[in-house]
Amino acid sequence: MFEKHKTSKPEPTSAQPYQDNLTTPAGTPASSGRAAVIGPGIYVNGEISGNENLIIEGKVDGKIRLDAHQVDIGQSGQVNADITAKTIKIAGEVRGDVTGMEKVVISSSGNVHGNIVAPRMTLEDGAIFKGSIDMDPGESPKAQGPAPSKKAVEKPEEKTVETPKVVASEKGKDNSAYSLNGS
Amino acid sequence: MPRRQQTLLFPTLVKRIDPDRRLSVLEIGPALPETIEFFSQFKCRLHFAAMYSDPVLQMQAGEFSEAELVDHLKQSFGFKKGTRFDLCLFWDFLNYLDDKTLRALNTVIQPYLHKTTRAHAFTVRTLDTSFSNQQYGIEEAHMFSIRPRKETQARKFPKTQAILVNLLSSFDIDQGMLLPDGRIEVLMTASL
Repeated sequence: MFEKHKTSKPEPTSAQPYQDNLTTPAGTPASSGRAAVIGPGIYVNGEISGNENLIIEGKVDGKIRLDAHQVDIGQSGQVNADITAKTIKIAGEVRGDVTGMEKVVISSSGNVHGNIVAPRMTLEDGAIFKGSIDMDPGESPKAQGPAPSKKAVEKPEEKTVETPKVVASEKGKDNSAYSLNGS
Repeated sequence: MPRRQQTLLFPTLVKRIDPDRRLSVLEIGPALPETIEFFSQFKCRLHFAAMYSDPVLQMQAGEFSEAELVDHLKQSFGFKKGTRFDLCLFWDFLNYLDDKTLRALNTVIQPYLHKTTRAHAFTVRTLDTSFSNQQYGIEEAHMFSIRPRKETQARKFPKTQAILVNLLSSFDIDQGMLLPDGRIEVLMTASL
């Protein structure tokens, strides 16, 4: 369904292969390497699998499995499907579970309702997400809390900071011996 | 740019996180980039309930029974079977729930708590304390981010600590910190 046509001009099929150095559809997210495209006027109902990247600008219902490749869902993309891929970038709408072998990115225009599993996850400002995210950074953080973030190191203090001033109550429950996620 | 708010209580929760075990977090509000970035350093599952935009805030003004509210909340949360949250982030959401809806929330989340589940919330010192239409994120263990909420502010039902512990019976309040604007930041532990 998504085979490449290296020498000939792509035919106007429902899934048009193209290279990044060719003209890409408006609003298409950046992608590396060759990719198949499901255009804005195309509706696919079923299972999609293959060996190249995929850009979705149309509508897909079913299941998408591209374990070693990238799936980009453009702003006009509407996906009602579970998605598994190496990297998944979402600028459109997704209803379903999303598994990124390496990373999942939800862009500012993205709207996702489902569960996400990925070692790394990025949500851009303005993105809408409802569901759960399973993350595993692969390296345990220090028990005493996070290292200072880039924001704290690089930016001068330009924001309003509200400071607590009075201890109102402290029941003194003895919580010294437990870890938060120890049960 | 979001404003920032220091917190002296939240770091006490963060330092209790065992990095070798998966952390399960219920965030009652929307998913925000800084919150995801903050928790990305931990092996964890974050459940973003996005309840500030949930119809329950409008439903509570109607003639819905507590049982109907429970059914709605169960469906809206969509917790997976077997889920047990280690940490619940309620922010100021509880102050937007009337008594009946707060009891319904208590009923719905109780099965998903364990005996050392902790929670963070804002209550008020007095019932006339005002609070803004804002949403919260976590930039660092000691620093929250505050952004204006896009949704219109829902009707407020401010909760003092005394009222809260009566209605949210799944939790006891451990610590409270009075903020300059009259809100009280509280840490709670499940009382199962």
